Amino acid sequence: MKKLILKLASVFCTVVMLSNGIAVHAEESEKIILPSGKPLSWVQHELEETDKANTEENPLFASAAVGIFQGDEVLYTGYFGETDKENQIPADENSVYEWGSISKTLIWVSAMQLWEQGKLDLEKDVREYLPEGFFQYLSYDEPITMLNLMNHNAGWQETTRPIWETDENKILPLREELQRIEPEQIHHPGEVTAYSNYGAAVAGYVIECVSGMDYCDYVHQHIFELLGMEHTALNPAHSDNAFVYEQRKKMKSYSINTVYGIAIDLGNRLNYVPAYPAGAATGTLSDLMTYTQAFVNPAAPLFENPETQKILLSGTSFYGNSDIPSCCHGFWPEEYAVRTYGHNGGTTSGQSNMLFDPESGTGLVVMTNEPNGNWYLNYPQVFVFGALDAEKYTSGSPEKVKFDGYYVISRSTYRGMMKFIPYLSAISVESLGDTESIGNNVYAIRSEIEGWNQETAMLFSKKTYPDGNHGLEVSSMELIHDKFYLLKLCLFTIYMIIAIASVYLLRIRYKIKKAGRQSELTESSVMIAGQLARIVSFLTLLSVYVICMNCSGGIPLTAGKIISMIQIICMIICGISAILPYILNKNNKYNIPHTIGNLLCITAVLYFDMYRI
Amino acid sequence: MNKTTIRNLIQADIITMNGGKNNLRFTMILMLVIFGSMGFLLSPLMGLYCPLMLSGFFVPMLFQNEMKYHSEKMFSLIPISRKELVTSRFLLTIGLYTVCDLIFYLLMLLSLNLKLYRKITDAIDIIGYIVKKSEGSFTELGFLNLCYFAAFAIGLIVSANALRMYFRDGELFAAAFSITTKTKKMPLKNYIPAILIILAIFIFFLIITGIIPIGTAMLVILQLFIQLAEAANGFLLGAMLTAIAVMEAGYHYICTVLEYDQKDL
Repeated sequence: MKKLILKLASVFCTVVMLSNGIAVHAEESEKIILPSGKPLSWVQHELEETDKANTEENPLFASAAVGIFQGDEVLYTGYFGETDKENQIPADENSVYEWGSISKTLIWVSAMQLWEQGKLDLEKDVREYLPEGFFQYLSYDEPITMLNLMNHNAGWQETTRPIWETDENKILPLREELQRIEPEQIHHPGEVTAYSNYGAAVAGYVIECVSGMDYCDYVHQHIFELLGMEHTALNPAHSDNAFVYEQRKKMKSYSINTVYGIAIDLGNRLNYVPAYPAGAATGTLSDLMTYTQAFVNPAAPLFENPETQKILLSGTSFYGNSDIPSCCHGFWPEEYAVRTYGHNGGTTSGQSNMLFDPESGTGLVVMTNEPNGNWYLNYPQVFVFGALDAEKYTSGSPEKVKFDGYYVISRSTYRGMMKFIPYLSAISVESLGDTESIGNNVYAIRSEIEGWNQETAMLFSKKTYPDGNHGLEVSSMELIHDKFYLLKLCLFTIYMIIAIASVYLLRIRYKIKKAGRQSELTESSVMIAGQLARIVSFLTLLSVYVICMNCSGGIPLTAGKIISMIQIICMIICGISAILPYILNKNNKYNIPHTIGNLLCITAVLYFDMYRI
Repeated sequence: MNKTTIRNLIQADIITMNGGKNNLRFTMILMLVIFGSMGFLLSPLMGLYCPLMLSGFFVPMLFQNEMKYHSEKMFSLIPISRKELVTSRFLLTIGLYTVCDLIFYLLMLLSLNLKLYRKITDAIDIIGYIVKKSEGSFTELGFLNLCYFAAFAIGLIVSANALRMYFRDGELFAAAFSITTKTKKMPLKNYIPAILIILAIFIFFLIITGIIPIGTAMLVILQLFIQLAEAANGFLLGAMLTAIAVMEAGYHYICTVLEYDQKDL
């Protein structure tokens, strides 16, 4: 009995320790001051207060794993919430979360390892490493270098094919998958920064070709095993790590609606990434912390020469003409009170974030099972690293600048049937706030941090493209100025109005027929065919968006072919319907508006590439 | 259709409208003054009540004398076509409604620019609050435009529908607004639109709460609406909503012409 009590007590203590997250004693945590200027104990208190406020009636988050370290010492690990609410499985040190795009840093580390061995030239055309004829849709002959892939400026648009696979058995080998999802190259290499999963996955395949090893094996051998990361998988179906494979099946994903106070169970969300170098790594918090700690270790355990680590964290692209880096060999620098490096990531099941400050050796890792993120992803980084003081770059009396017009996001699809999508998310920079020029073609927009009584600033730079147009570079993407945005949006609106008008014309026809009357407006079958074609065309466009949302941002090839066929048929019918009434009944007064409607519909279908697979 | 006849009919309606006791007109003016003042003193959004309120009372207000004294039969005696009568009344109703609305819109624009409501009371600046919460998606003008055009479009559709109902059964319409003492039982089929509206609202809530899982299909329309609302200070969405309302009003006009033509007077 005594033994049983002791056993139960020890289990209870372990559970309490794990759920509250203890790494450093309370007295010590008072003394440890983080780069934000706050003591560790304060950060710990804030994290745990949020956990206390998270109840069944008032759900704030599903689960989160948070780790803070300084050098090789783990200062704090906290596991909050549950990874499976139904079965009440709490988040703990065995919970595995998806890294998402943090996985890309494994590619960049591998590339730098091969670079220091002299096997890979970062400035050489990657086609020299890849099999002959690897790319099928390149538009430009300029070389695409590993640096282009790291800086996400090789010129590819967003892929139009789904990048997720739900059936484990349908996962294609990396090379085949990359050829299946290859997007069109719409910019010259080096011209526009547009975050690209495809580009990163190609870099992973380059590692495979240069090292002569399967990419997954390479990473296991040269990173995971080197650092002792035993609970991380990289293979799309996590088959390279039995522990992760089992644990991942136990984890569920949630979407928390704090307004309605509900936690929506999204299930296991086992969506696999066949282009796995771009985002398939999955593992425990402890392993991701170990990996992150390697970057603040002066001995640089991942490289033969510690200097390589310094080079890895040196800028490869900069804001304007300044020395503020916007990308460091694939790692994203972020300006807080101190400059941090790292990457964040998101999948269909969760989001993660990895940040470190090599100067102080401090790092923060957060992992969640919510695809929309939660409080732990947005606030702890400011608690640990502080906020960028608006005055740091904007001191004195900076010149106020106005950026007029609308900007479209570079990371999108500009060719193919999804071309209309970026026009639904254009940005007016003016509406973001007052812009200040801080010199060297760099600009800042000030904003207040809620609850902190402090002003921070968002930095961006202005870029002029060879065609004279300009764009604004914000970290991993650019906002491209679109002079004719309103005109394009007008065309889209008219296309929509024409479809709605066609519905009304059909309703009117029905009424007139029912009343036993005749009208030039409704008698012509050719006109009716045109009206139907305009409605079908618009509904098909809506279906593109619905499929695209359901297939994680892509259109499967078969669906694409069907949609393309329907749009071509609609265009042909509209074309015939625009011309034929003049032959059949040229005195019909409705011929002209009818023809204009049909021609505008055809113009919209052609302009927005609705017929292109 | 003869344009002069239509013009004369409009003038005749204006004369009839101004004759007799205009209780509704007084009520309308009073409400316009109240909501107009609130638009200046509290928030320009208060002015939104104007198009919505106008739409409900416009047709009864315009034709209350005719309904009261049953003078609608007069039009079957004078040499005009039924289509001309319907056309003239649609033009009068929609034209007057648009002019009234435009005046109120311009007043609310003035209120938005003067911002008297910020100086006079401590009440929350609703537009300012929403614009701040939208994190730069909307400008104050854009948000006002969005709300105003939406209200105008709804009002236009309601007015056209009311006019159609009036032409279909003037007595029933008058009874519904208690303009005549004569009571007439509303046929069951007249409740169908109200039931459909309630049903549509119910379905809408089921969709936004995710119980009916067609969120993604709705999302594209919603996103498009948001984008149109954000661009060009909401004028694009305004144009689209107005176009839809005009089409709906046009549909009601054609239906009224057809129905009134077959009606036994």
